[in-house]
Amino acid sequence: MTGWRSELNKIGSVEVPESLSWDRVQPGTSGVARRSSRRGVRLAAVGLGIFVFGALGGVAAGGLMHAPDGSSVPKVLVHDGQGWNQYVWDSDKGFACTQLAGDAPGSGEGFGCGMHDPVQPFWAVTRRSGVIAGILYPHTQISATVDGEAVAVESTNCPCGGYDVPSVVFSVELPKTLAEEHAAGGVVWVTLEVHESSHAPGGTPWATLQESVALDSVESGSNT
Amino acid sequence: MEAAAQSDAAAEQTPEAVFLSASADLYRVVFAFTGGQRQVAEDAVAEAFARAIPRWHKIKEPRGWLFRTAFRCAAKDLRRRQLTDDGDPGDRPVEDMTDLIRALRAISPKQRAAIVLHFEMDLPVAEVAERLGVSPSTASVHIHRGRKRLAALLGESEEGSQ
Repeated sequence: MTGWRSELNKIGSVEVPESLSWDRVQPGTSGVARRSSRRGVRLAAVGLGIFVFGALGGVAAGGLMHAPDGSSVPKVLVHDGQGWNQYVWDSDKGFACTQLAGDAPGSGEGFGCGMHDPVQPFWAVTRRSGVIAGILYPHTQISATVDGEAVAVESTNCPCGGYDVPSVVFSVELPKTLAEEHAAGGVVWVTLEVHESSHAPGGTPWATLQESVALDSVESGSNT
Repeated sequence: MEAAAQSDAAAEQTPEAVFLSASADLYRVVFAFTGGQRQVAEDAVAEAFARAIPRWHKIKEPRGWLFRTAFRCAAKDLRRRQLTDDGDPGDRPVEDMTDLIRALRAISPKQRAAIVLHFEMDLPVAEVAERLGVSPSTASVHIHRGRKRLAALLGESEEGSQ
């Protein structure tokens, strides 16, 4: 026995879990997803921004979306390395996972359903999985470079039954060389050229978006 | 100057600033509250922030609100675990803390939180009461009884009753 005060002092040295960290990667746009084994991703919304804390991997993209009733609803897509999950803000329940989608954008039936007409395009953030994902204006096509290197973009106009204006969900896998170069973390510049769907990529882009994306310990494969 | 001071004060109260300054203490107090159940503590703290952020501007004193909410979340989770026997192998106490965790589990959750807030975080009784969401007299009782029981279980400290 060392006395109750000495024992109690040990509480002050209890290690705070790494997953209980704050990530606010790009204010007002997106964040990094926390995934716990029991509770899934925990998210919170502030105005236009989606704040997500925790750092166990995955890709999150979120933003304020128009709801069918005309209101605006924070919504987030999270790729946990195995599939996409959609989280919709509910004032009573908070963020709730509304569906488990397919393996990749566009592959799951109903993927992105209700994810239509983003109020603003928003970026994705990658962490460990080496994938960058996001949601852009509807009826667009995207080409992308990462640190100046052209990369393939997988995107889809979400086939949302009942909605006339689908959004584009996209993902970009980091080139292997870049993933290796940033294996311990770092920052890459991602440039997206957004073209209207009716115009072939290669012409004057409708919009060009460039953002730095922070990477943290890029690990291919599982993020668990 | 006054406007600048107000601006500084507001900056200190942003969700991010409060998270960075208070989340570690909050986690440790909730860790004690749960009797050393790390997963429950972690979930409770994250849940408290997730609930606070959307209504941040309506919360007058975020730190107190976060503590009270985290305690409620943790208590609910502990009750659920008792009902379902949902043990978590990750919740085994670390070896160095076995005696402390065993002693903490012998007192009530509010006593655990009260003594950590008062003796470890150095908060006065009034602030302990505010964090716990109880009256100052109730907080005093939790502190007194918790300290007495811990002393019986772990031994009186060398400095005396403190």
